[in-house]
Amino acid sequence: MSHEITRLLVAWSDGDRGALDKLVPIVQPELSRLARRYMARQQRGHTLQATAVINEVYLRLMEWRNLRWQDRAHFFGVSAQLMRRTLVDHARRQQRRKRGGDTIAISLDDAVLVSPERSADLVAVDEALDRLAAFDLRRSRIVELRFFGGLSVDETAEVLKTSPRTVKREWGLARAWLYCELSGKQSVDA
Amino acid sequence: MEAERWRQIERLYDAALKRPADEREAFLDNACGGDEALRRRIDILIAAQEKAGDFLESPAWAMVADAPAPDHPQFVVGRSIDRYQILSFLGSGGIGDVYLARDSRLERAVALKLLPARFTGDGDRVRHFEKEVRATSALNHPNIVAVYDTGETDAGRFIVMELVAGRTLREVVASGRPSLDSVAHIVRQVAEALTVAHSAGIVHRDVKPENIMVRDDGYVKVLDFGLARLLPSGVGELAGTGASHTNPGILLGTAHYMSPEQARGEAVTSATDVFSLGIVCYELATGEHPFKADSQIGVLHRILSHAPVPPGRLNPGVSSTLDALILDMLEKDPRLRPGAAEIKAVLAERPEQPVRVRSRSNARKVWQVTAAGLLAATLAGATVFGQTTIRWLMARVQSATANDFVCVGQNGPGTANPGPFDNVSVRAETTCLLRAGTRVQGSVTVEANGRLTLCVTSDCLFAPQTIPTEIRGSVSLGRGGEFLAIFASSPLATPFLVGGDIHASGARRFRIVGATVGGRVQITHANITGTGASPGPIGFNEIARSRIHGEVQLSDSIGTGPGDRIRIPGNVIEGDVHIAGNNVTLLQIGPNNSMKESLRCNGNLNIVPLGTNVVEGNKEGQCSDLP
Repeated sequence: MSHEITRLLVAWSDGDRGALDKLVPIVQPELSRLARRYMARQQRGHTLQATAVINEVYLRLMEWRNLRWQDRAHFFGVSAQLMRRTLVDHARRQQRRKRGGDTIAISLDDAVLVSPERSADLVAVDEALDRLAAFDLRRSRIVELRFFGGLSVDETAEVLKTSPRTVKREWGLARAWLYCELSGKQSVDA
Repeated sequence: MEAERWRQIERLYDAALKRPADEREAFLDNACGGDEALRRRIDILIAAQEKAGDFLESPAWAMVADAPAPDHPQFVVGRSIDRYQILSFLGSGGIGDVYLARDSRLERAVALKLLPARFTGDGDRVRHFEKEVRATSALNHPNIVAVYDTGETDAGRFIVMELVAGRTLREVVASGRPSLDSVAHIVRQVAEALTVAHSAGIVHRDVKPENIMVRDDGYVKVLDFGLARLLPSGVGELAGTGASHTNPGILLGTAHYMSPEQARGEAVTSATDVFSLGIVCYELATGEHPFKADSQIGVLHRILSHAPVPPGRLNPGVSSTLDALILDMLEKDPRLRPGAAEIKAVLAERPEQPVRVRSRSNARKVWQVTAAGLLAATLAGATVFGQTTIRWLMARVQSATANDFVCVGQNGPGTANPGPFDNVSVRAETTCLLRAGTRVQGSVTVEANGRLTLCVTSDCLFAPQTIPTEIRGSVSLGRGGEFLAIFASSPLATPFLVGGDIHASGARRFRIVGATVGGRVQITHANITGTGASPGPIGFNEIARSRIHGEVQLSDSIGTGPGDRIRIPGNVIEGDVHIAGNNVTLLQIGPNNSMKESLRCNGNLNIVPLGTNVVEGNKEGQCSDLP
């Protein structure tokens, strides 16, 4: 399994865009496994370990990533994308559970990663980001890197191979647009 | 939205924001030229930009954890908890808030730390923690903050400690870089505390500037032994440090003093504290964090994968001894780090004494006690490949067919193809990369100024153990060549096996880490000058953590630039070792080599024996008094 991941990461950093799509479904079960492992050791409902799981997502990635020391940018990019999918998937599951009124039998597979209140926010950001990507892919990438990946302006610029100034400027408008979308009062599209 | 429309909005939005607020109105009136819809959209976006505050400014994971409201100091000050009257709020520690309190029975001032309920919900963890607190206070050491009492009331679980009048090391650093003398003074005292704790089997787990108090008279006190145990196991092992409950997203931020093994969620040992202290020491000596990066992910990435820039390069006042000590504390492999007792001993020596003649007899006594365990661990790691491997190595199959691989481009084959190849050659001026699991039936030749990288630590660390990287023949390296083979020596790691010899004449750079070599290792006339100046993982030259069945010869190397370094730690060498005529800025032998035959050292400059080495045969020349 590690070998396959390594191969895909290498292919991806060699410029094979399709490799990332193959990579994510392979890594996802690994992430759930980690979450399960943490849950098994924790008391139920404790969400602190969520952060631990996320830390571990990064750390695992970092280990795979080390095979190309010289190119942190790709590593940061993949991390942010995986973080986004992991967090949002869990948030979605959380919401489904809430709608279904299933408050008792929470399977370990669906380890509580995201609190119910926050999960709605995360899903909304994710969806708005998809809408943004339809007409401004680059700004949606900036938000993905900064918000989901937690990267600094400089690191984001490194990933996108542009200047920090540009990132800062483009981040400003992206944030304003998303704020409009999510505050639910006014849509810029209206 | 159409892309065209969006570009229009983008342009006017940026242009409007560049203007002072009172001119925007007029500018947009004019620029939109009566396009009401356009104008309205830009107005909405500008208003949003002003209202957005810190929207999306903290990372998504900060939204994830449910942070309970912090226990507000106001509610506690003035109350009594058990027999302690809370007088004032002193500050927030990693786990919980600290108050100045008065012990009404013993009539003395104490520090009381209130632990938030979220850290004390797990009975097992609390019991472990209390056991450790009792064990630590039983040590009764002047460099360890004494714990007087622990207990539980409706306000939560609490710890009562000795009140220390002074500043945390964080505050000391904030007011300017301390002199190197006081750095040694401070770090030595922390090492004193750790030595005592470690020999009692207690690991601090969270050594960082916030947990080190410096009293006004220069006395150092280490706080919060074992407190990190209260963190949920995932976080405790991963972040290894205090969680600020006001901002759960900051959990990652505390990763700054984390060791690589904590980062990987592996077992925490006393060597973990040494790594963290190494970071503290580096920061004190240079004013910079050894793994600094913009984001927390960046810091973790560096802790796991990057060798720090030698501290002596950032602060020329740092002696070569201190430089080597700090770098060894920051070894990625916990087994190669010095013990706290050795750190203490090295720092206790006066820096102006020449390194080679300093007396290490006192150090040795203490060090050998702790070293015995460490050495045993190192040897266990080195022999992990077992007898089958050794027999295989001795068999040495010769190649017959013609499936040779020739590396000619800038990037080698390795990205995808693991062979097996009959022979591999790296042509002059070429860089070649072979992945974990590559198999070569014959030999590997690196021509002049060629460079061969065989795997990198974590790549190999992660690949299944069943696929060794094998070179059945020999490796030879031409003038100016570079050979970087960095394998982890943990049982999880992929083995790296060389059946024949490793031979390099006039090499520019070599790193042979975690290898099992059936033949000899012979490195002569290497010219590594300037390699110490390159930051990152290839900053020095070494033969480390390897098991070598033949002789080892290291002779006539030159490397006189700052930071140029050859190190030979943690090897098991069956044959004779001969180190002669090397002139490098630092030539370090040890710690933890096990040499089955003789060790001869002649005519080397700047040779530093470090830690304990076991030599079963004769020791001759410069190394005759090697500890």
